Amino acid sequence: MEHDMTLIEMRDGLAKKEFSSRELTDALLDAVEKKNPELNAFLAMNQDARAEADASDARRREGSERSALDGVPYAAKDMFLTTGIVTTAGSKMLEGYVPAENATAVQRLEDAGAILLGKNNCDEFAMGASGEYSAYGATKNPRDITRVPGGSSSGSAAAVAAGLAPLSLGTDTNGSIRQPAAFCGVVGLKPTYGRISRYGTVSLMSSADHMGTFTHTPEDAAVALQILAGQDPRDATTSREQVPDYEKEIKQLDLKKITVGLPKEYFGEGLDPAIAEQVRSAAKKLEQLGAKVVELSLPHTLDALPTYYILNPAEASSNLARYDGIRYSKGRIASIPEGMTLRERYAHVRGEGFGKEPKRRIMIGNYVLSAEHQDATFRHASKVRTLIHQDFNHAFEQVDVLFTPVAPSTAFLLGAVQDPVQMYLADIFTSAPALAGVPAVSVPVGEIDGLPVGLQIVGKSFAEGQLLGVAAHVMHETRT
Amino acid sequence: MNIVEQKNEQKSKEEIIAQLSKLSLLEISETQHDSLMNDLASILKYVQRLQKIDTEGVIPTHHGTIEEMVIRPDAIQRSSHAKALISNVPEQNEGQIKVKGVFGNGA
Repeated sequence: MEHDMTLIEMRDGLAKKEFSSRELTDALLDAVEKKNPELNAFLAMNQDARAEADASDARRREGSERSALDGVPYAAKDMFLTTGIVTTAGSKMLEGYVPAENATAVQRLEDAGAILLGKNNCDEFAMGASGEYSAYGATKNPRDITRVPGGSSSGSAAAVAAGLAPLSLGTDTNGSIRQPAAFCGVVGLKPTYGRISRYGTVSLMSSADHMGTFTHTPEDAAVALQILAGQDPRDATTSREQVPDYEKEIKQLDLKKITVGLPKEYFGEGLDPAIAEQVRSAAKKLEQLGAKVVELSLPHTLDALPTYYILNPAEASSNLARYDGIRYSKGRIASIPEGMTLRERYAHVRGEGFGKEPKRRIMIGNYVLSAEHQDATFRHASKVRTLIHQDFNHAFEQVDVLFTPVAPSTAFLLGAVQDPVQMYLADIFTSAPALAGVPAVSVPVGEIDGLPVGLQIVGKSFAEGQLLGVAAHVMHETRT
Repeated sequence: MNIVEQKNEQKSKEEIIAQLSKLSLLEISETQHDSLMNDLASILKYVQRLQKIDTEGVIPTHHGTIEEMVIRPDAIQRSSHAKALISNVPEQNEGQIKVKGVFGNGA
């Protein structure tokens, strides 16, 4: 049985009884068993997956399926809490941590009858752009195992690209869904901030943490978003904005009414010219189909990354304060020397449990939040964030969507980037949409030397249907 | 010259790392000092490029949304997670989390 079908093919195949959920689940789990030793895309498997698939098949036989996705398998980044299944966020700090409840996104899929296969590897606490900062070893890119899959949602991108899951949940605070999607050649959607609940996901930068999806197609992303989107009483930042029928909006999209903007700041120095060419060519193809294409400027684009590396550490240092060896880190307590004071114990557990990147962020965070430096750094960056936001407001007065590259290069070799600032630069084009909270999707549009190239399409807030509709057109055009 | 050096000319690298690790509640081994200091200096140097932007009169953004946040009703919700939550705690005693003393010599 095929294991690399799309989410919609699985949904429709189950409805037509071409196969059972158990057959699908078995096929995917077999594929994971075969490929994961090489890819390291999964950190933990759901031991109940087969039993849950049997239960789904029983519901379908009785005609009492919970939704059209009942019985469809999926995976989730290890940032999402999962009842009874170890959740580590890629950190030794949470080694062996077994959550008491599901994240809202996971719960919504469970309520729809979807089958959780397991948890995907990621950079520690979602801090990284290559997957190499996971405390449990790097994930390999299924397209070329000598290369990184991108990050931080490294395992999610690799799992979907390798056909080990038709859908994986990811988190994106600065590009962590879009950039690995581009590196692995799959579709990565970061919806509008507040569209999908953050409840029950490990917090990195609360004001910019977005929950989203990896799928094979934009249509699959729409199907998943339909279930995941909506207000959640347990996340006060979720939007009250109505959730439209995304599949319908994709089908009804009229390209003749769409204006595509090409912002010049995304095509400057440091970008692989072959990637620039593919992005422009995607716009040209839509132009031939009736869309209007204009060039424009978003002047604060390149200020987003340095802004992010002030604001993220500030928020992350606060969010990571909870890891003190009192409530978490059960496994670390044995290594604490006798006779330490409480403060010494905190520092010891944190010094041992955090990897290098979280340490850097915590220290930078404490630096920018200190009384001495706060005005020049944190407060100033928070104002620049407003200017970044205004750039998008102005742009969307003229255009409906923006076309940009996702990353300045294709997937780089494992171990090739050692300097932290060089690693940060992999997210230079994905940062601004994250800080502004506008939706963006990464779509595979071609290859360079056999490696996938991603196009970033940025849309208006809560216009995910339009965004995915444009993405669907792009994908169909660039495939033929 | 970057922000660290500018503001802390009189302080040694060791003093800066010691101060930040104290604020961060992080034990930093001596072997990590140099590489961490270099990393922090290059990160702070990179973000310093923001200084040239004029933000006079700009209101800061601290949230991901402009919508008013909705607080849920302050009602009692039953939870049966106590056991599962406690099972993750490093040290416990009869369902309670054990912590070192916070007063006197323990703190």
